Amino acid sequence: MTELPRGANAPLPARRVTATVSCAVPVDVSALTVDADLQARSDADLVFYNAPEGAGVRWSQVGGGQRIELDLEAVPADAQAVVIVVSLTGRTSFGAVPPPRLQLTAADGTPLAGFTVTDLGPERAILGLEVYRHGTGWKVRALGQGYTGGLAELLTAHGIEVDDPGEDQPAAAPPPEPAMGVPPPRPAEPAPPAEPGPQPAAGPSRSEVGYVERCWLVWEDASRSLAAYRAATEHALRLRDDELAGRAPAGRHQELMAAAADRLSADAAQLAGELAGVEPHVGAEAASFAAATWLTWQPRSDVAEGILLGTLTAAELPGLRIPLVLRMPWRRGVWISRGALPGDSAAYAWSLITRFLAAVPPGLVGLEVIDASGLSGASWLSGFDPLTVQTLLGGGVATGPAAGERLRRLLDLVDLRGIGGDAELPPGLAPGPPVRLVVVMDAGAALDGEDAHRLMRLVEDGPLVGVPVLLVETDTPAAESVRALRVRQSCNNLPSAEGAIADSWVGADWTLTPDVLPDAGDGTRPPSLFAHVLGAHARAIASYG
Amino acid sequence: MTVSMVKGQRISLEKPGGTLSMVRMGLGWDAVKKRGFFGSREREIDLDASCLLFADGQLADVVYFGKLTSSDGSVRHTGDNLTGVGDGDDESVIVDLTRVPVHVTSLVFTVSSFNGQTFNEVENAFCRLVDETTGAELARYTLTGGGAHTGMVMAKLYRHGGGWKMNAIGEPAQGRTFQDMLPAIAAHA
Repeated sequence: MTELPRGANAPLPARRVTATVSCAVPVDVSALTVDADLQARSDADLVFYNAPEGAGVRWSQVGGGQRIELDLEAVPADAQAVVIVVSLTGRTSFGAVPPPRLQLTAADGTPLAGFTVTDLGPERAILGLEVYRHGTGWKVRALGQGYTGGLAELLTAHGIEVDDPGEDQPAAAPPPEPAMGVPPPRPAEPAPPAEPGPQPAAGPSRSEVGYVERCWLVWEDASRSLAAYRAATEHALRLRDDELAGRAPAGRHQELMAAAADRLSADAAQLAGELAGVEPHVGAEAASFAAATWLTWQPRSDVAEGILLGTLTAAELPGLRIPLVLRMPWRRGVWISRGALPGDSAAYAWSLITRFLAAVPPGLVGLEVIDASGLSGASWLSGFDPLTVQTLLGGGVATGPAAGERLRRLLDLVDLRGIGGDAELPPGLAPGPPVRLVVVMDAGAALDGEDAHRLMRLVEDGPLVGVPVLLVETDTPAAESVRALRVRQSCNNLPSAEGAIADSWVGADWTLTPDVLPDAGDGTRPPSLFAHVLGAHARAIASYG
Repeated sequence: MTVSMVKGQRISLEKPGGTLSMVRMGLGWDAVKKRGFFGSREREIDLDASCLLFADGQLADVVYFGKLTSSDGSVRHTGDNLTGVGDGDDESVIVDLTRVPVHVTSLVFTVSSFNGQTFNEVENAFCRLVDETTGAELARYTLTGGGAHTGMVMAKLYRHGGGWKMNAIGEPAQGRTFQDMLPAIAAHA
């Protein structure tokens, strides 16, 4: 792969290429087809979340990550180039978040070119890579030029008429990724059908998709297969009643039941085979803690695609275990519900935190643990060496009055970044890595306390500006208040022990078995793998000097 | 190979040497011609393609602009086109016949005019059935000039032996959505 510095270009041998972006915060990816003057010829030249198809250009999203697929043969002859545009939602600027990285891959997955866009400031939308005609072929150039006015300003400058460049609203939000396990508004009502995620076009080529996308596609296929099976067997049971009553000739019920079971087991076998083909190659962060790849884990140099949450199973599909992988970076908060045992949720939280750290390069993410009551047993965190506590752990667990104080400072940081305040830190917040993973222990009590409204804003605004939030329901069960429900609805909801979760396509019931560190216990002792990953981060940061 | 459809004609979708696995219903029409300095005051023409899945005569699932994928994923609608702008098929419904649930015995394809214009008022309106694996057009219907109707029950695919057969229906109906036309549709399920 060619690593491009800003302004450099390289030949592009492939005709079908895919552009992806890796960034610590969620970004929108768009493509602009332009003429020799870098101007769009019509509004149809913009391909983005509201217009996913153009000539030779296709936008898609699965589970939060956006990509552009280019078929250069199909790009109109009078177009000179296609520019890959990266933009932030809201008012955050690129200066406030770690540098985004663009990558071009060939259809077979071969990386072709990479470009890390460093030294950005108040820009909120950038021209990332330009794929342009050169003689009879194509080349790629690293642009890295940006616009402070965001996507609207960038597009206007390139000849697109923008309807509503409204500064204050995050304009057209991209389609939300399916929320997981959002609780119903009232216990008695059935869960509202979650909005399905964007559908990949019929027959997506499985060879091109990444691991996270593949897991979600397998889950979707399995859910639809399950829906077909349940519909077929329900219909067959109605037929049996008719057959017993003599209203229909006998035999069809048996025949249908057998055919439905055959179809389901064939589907399950195919999907299991698909997973078996890719699971051995995933990184530690997306593999079970029991996997051997954890033994050889090394700090990463980029942000991983996603982290494993657990395994999905359904009673009708005994042979199929689907990994549930949450895409990085997080677009929403994550809520972990109380389990059967008091320590379950804390143990699962430390497991996810370990994966989160394992999924990012050292120096990108620090922890901010808030435990107002101090009862969650996380005080061991302050037992690491003082330098680590200072640089990676926000100075230690915030308890008592310090908990409210820390929450306010973190919200200040979110607000500062929200208005495009560059890498500045609000007064009172310890210096640390750009991304702060906020872990709120005893979230049930926190949502009942005086800082609840701040917590709500942190959960809703933080993830988009590099402050992902993990809420852990440890001691106090969350109240059935409007506030608690609103917070949980804005989060991905996870059970801390084996629990039910509905898919977002057909609403079938699945069992999620969380993947938990073997020695996480009840969260009152440091798990050895957490200490290992944290130590590796600390050593890597120290070696940078 | 294009087969011109005669009302009531049956066409086997099984091909010698290979079975049909992916079928697409395409629906196309031309947008209202804009005239006048201040732009058209006419309503846009919005034709909708729908596909209804029946199990032994009972409605099992529907794919239309409001539900773009059947619960089992075998039938997918490419999305609502509100104006007819663009050449060729403006709306498509793609059916993966190998994935249709075992209890579904027939699929009925319909066209309806959401804003209520009759097919007489719509220019260059057609619907067609295409073998998606080869791109060959299996059948085509011209809707324009088809009378003062707002809907049409176009065709039915039904299980026959181990494969699927098509029955060209081409029956006019009144209705702006598939729901309005359900009585006419159910007669063919």
